[in-house]
Amino acid sequence: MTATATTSPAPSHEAGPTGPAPSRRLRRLSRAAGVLYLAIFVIYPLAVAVRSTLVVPGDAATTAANIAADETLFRWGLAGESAVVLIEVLLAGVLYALLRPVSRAGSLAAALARVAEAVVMAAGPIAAGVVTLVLVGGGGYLAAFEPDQRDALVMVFQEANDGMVLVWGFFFGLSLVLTGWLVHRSGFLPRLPGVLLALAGAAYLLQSFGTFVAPGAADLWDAVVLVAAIPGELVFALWLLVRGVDADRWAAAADRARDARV
Amino acid sequence: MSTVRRVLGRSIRAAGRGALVAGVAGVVLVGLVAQSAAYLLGYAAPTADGAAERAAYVGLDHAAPGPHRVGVRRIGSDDAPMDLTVWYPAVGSTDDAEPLTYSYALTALGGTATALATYEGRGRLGAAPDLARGPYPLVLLSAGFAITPESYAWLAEHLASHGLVVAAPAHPETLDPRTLWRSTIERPAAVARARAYLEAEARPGGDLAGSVDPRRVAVIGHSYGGYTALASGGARLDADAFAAGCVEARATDDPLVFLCDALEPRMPEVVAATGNGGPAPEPVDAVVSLAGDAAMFGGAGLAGVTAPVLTVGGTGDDDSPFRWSTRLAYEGVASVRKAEVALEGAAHFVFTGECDRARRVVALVPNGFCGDPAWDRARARAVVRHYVAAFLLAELGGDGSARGALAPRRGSPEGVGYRAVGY
Repeated sequence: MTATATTSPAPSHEAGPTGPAPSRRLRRLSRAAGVLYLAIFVIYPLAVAVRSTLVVPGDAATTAANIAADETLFRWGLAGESAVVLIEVLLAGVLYALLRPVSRAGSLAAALARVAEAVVMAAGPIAAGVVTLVLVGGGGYLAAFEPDQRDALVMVFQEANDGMVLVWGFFFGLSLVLTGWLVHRSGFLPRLPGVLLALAGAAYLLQSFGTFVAPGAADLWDAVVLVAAIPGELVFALWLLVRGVDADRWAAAADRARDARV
Repeated sequence: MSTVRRVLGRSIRAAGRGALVAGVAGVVLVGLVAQSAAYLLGYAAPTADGAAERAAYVGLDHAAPGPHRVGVRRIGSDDAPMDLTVWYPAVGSTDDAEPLTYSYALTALGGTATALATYEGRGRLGAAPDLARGPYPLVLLSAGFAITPESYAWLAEHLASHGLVVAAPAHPETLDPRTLWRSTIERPAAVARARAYLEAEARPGGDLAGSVDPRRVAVIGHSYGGYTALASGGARLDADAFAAGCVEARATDDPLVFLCDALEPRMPEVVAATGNGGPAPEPVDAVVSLAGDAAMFGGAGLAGVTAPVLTVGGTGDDDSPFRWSTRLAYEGVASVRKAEVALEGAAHFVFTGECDRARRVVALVPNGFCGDPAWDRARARAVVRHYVAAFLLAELGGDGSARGALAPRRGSPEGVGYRAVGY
């Protein structure tokens, strides 16, 4: 079946009169997904590292002083997180388009979970960062607070940020599990990245639930994410970028999905 | 012609593919490094062990916390000549506020303190001072080069709990040896300005009236803060002695060479700026040098110190070698009463902050900041607390039992070499 599909003229998958052939569009889509994924893979940890250099857990005075002294660096970290939010929304759309033939409902759920993650990230950590900038900015009305109180407020928002990361982790984990499941059963992408993605998603869910329920073991949950998430997301991103999807199998799956819907 | 074009086209495409592969590999590499950095810069779960800390007090009378509660104030440079952190005896119950969390930090990047670890203190920010039992002697604390004052909160809180007011001026420094010469000039002057400010505020009507007794003053410091303490106590720079020490150090590959390379080229400038031969600094009642650099004074320069001196150092210190810091200071000062505590095998950072919650990179990568080759740090801190508190209580408070604890006949804890004169 594979040989037939790949050697047939496959008119619907080659150059068409009105634009690029579907296979070429698919290739662009999968490459776009790979590029977007790699961008997140690089930008997000850099933003986290920036925050880590400035925010000192529990030490409000040092944290506020660090952010005030290196406000530009803090702003770059926020800009990085904001970029990740935008990329996540784009990636949700691209992955939805790629995986829709497998299961429209599943693909939609995965995309919605990813968008929800982006929204929580924007409404939580990024908003907390913006409030932090206001607090260290020292506007005249802030004279109503003593400096120690302002420092404490900065710490409140930055520590709340740690909890909000876990909240978007719920949605991100769900999105990865669903995406992994879709990839695994797609037939036009290899199963291994699907399994790895699902494992990565499970790791994020474990981290979020685990830290809420057993915060004393936060180190363990962090290590689980480090070990489980990087291989899954990296392999998937590189596969999309380098190999992409099997266009003929994707078309067959799309046909099946269309028939099933009819 | 077309063959050439085909070959050229293939070559260009191959080069393009190669560049693409290299680009993707580069991005992946950057991503992996960023992921690792984000993980390693994060903080590990807290490892504080109160039981171990308390066990370390056993046999050390003055290592346990004193009877006073501890308050903390941060005075900004808007009000004081520089940022000051002040620990003092306070009133109030333990329920009135959460104790502070301190950073053990270095100013490694321009102006930003890079925390290596955090640790829980006992002091309450802004707690009301205990004026009923005051005023209390003043202890000026000078941090190590580019190390934040609160990296020594574990010691400052301890002294405040024993009835001393500890004030630590922030030295605006970055961890760059090329600027050490400037700190050599500015640090003693900064301590003098902080002292003048605190003494003024201790007068009736001042912000610290009733808290601080400006007639009883000690200076304590670690590493370059130890240099600062000795200089504030009257030690004079001796460029010739330093040069001679550097010649010897270079011949024997002694770790002092690091200080020589940083300071020696600017030594004439430093000596001129510090006004050697000018008026001596205002006298102090006691000096404590914790692994304090002393080679720049030489024996003759150290003879300018006549106040009682306690020197404490690790014999395994490669940053401020014991011979050129703790031992040289002990043997050089002209004090009638002096004591030397040698922590056998201890390294330089045994005096810096606790590491209850360290960054993963500090915990995972071998370094001297949160570990020590020879000592359990909780035990080392207990020994330092004991001797420093006993010395300052004896010299500033006239405490007889504290003075007794400094008598050589009392012996010393395991792993500690101790000698003293005048106790």
